[in-house]
Amino acid sequence: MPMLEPLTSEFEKQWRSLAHPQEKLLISAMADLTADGYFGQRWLLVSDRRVLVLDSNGAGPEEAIEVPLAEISEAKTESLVGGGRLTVQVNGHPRPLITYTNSEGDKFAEVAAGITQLAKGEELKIAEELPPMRCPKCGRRLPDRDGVCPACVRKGAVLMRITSYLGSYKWQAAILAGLMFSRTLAQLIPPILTKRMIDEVLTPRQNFSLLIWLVGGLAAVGLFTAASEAASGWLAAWLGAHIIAFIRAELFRCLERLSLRFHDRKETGSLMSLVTRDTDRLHEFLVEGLPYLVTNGLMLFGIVGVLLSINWRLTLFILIPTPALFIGGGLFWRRMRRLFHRWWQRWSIFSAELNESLSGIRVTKAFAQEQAEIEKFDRRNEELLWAGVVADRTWFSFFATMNFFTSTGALIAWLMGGRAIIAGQITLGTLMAFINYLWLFYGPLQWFNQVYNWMSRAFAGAERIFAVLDTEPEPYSDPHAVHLPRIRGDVAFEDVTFGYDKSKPVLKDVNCSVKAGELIGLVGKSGAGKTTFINLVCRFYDVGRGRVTIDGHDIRDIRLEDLRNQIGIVLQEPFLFNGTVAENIRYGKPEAAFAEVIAAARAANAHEFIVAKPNGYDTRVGERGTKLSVGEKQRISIARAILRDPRMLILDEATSSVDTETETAIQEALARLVKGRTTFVIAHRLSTLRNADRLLVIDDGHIAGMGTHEELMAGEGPYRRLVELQQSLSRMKAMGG
Amino acid sequence: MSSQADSQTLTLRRDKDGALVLTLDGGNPVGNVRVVRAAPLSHPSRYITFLDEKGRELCTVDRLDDLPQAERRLVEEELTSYYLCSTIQRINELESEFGIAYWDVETPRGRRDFVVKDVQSSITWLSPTRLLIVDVDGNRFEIPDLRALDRRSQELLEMTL
Repeated sequence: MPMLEPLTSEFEKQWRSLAHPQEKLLISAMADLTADGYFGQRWLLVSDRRVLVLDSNGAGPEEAIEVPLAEISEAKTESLVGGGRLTVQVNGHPRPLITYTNSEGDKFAEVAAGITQLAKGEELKIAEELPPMRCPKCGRRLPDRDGVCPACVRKGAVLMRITSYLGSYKWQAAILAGLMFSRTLAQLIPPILTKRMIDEVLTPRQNFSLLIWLVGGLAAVGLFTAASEAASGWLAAWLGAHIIAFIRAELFRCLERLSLRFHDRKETGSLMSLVTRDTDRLHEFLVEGLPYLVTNGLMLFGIVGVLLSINWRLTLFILIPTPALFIGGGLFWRRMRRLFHRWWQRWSIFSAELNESLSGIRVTKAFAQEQAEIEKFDRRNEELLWAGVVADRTWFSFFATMNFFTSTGALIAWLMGGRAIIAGQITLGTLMAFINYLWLFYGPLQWFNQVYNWMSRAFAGAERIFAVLDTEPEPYSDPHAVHLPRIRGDVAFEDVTFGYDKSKPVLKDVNCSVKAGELIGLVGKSGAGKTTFINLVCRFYDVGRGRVTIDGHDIRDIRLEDLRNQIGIVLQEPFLFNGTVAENIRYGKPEAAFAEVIAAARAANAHEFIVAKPNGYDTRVGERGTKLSVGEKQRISIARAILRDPRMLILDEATSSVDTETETAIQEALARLVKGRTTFVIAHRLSTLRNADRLLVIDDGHIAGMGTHEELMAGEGPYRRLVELQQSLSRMKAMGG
Repeated sequence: MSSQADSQTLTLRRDKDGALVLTLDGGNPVGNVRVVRAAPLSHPSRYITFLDEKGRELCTVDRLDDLPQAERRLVEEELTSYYLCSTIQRINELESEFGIAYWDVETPRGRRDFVVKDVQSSITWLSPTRLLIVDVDGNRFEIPDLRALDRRSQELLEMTL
């Protein structure tokens, strides 16, 4: 199928003038760099007979670069720093055609594949649709290739989504809102009572019974405020905690289900902070920010309303400092945010370096660099100190200024109100009520800018959380998938091309088939694509092109549970979870009886060393398994794989970091294990692979040979070179030892 | 197989396909040569390394200035086409919302807009006044000296960082 990016009118015209009557355009793609390296447009067109590169800048069609397809043997992309280049092989020589920035990298990887397919006379099999680069609504570049424009979605939607979690707690939320509203109203009452007290009791010096009533009223309001504050605080905390626990649980469920491709892109640290810090900020906002915003917002309107109804002229006067307070506050928070950010940044650098220094103490001592480390630490410490001092200084001077502005409101009230009292326009009680309201009014005002900040932080966190929640998980429990309760173990790769990054394929056009029960050794230099091959067998990743089949079914059609349940995998660096040895062996089959655990450990040649430990199978692996040697951990992880009795077994450098004796022990264990199961073994030491039925040699993403040791040695391929190299190495060792 | 080349004996030319051909000490010419900077950030015009097709070092030149005029031009051409990093001369617009920053900048290559996610890890301070910015696609932008920017650009930057 053709891949056509719509040509702009200028290039459309150029193409029309160049096209032959029957010529059919198959691929069109825009590059964002001109021939001179400026940002601009340049087009690569592929028709059924040639490849064309068209330039803008008034260059006419006669200047277009043209290469007939017949002369091209293949097209490749080459990565540059910050971009890439598409090169075609013309009569055996590479010819660069077009350069583009990284933004267009994926597209040109597809284009290169397309040109190669056409040049070889194959059918054009590339992605037809390109993911959008810009938001169709606002025209901004999209931060991700998923077509979601956060600038357009966000705003109301995020708040809606956060509040949608309240849905399950309708009653509690309604009660909370009621409590907050009534409390705000209650807080508006005391100044009115004190006003009457001053005007009707204190000034005329009479009416003690009214005083009792008024004080009683104040007490009642105070009691109610305290009670509702406690109740609403309790309720907000309960609600917030429940919602956050729910989101956190959902998030973790989601993280566990997401594909490795997702996890490759994210650092563990950033995911940790997603589950801990971002949810915490959201919690903070729900428990403190949102109630604060609601109650104080209501309060401000209430106060202004009451003041205006008492005396509108005086009200307008005392509100004069408000804009200054708002603007000043806004400017301040902007500055404060920067200072806090800097301080926080220094902190993170400081703690990262501290961590590094302490964990690298052995190296530091070996190179006698203690003094340099101390000096480095002192520098960081000093920077941190000053960042903190500056932030605090600004913080406190701000409050002094703000308090001054706030008190100017009171000064105006005293001055203007005092004059009105002298003129007999208002009573002393009214003035006192004004001044009381004023404090209620200005207090929260200072914080409003901060709340916005609070909100944007919480929202940014919420957004990151929702982005993860919305990522497509691995297709577990897909109802259409093929049920394979017992895999036979025939594996085949058909024209498989795959790269973790689409523009950099790691495996290229791999074809091979493995019969059930075969033991296949994977051989090749590091980085050749051996581990990637295995990742595809486990379907940790989906192929870019072509397909992987198991027992004749496309791996993407097989139920993921069935597939993974029947694959046992032992990795080079065995990861054991914190817990006992027995728990670790049981990891993939928690219901296994203890006798099975022992049997599996025996099969892995691990039983003896385990029982020799003081706590035997109850030995705790401890933090990162420091109490066990690598060979021991290796054998435990083999036992873990055996216990599941998998139909297929994968050993990725499982014996590379152990001594020869241990390797022999592991080899024995493996020889028992691989019987009747399709097994893939990756090993650096070729001697490890002597039991293999066949060897699969991978070189730079291609299959460079497949066959028995003897067959491969008969040829001139890379395998023979590797064997000869290792033999000469072991001879050298033998002579040296 | 590395050697420190004495720049006197290094000759460079392009073949008819535009690929670089390097000849050292009058020895055998090597085709499809790549030219890279050993330290593109700290020493952009020094320690220029020539690699063969397979990425093996052919030689390293200490200073770009030591090369003869013609060779130097070729090397510079090659470096500009390999390092697509752009220098930011002015910031037209920079808005940041919820951790995503939208930039619109002027560079010697022309105007460009780009998006930076996760400001913390995408922006590296090379020195207190020098910044390297990597956008979501992996394109690189550099601000060699913060203080050399105009006032507005500086203010925009300050608000985001």
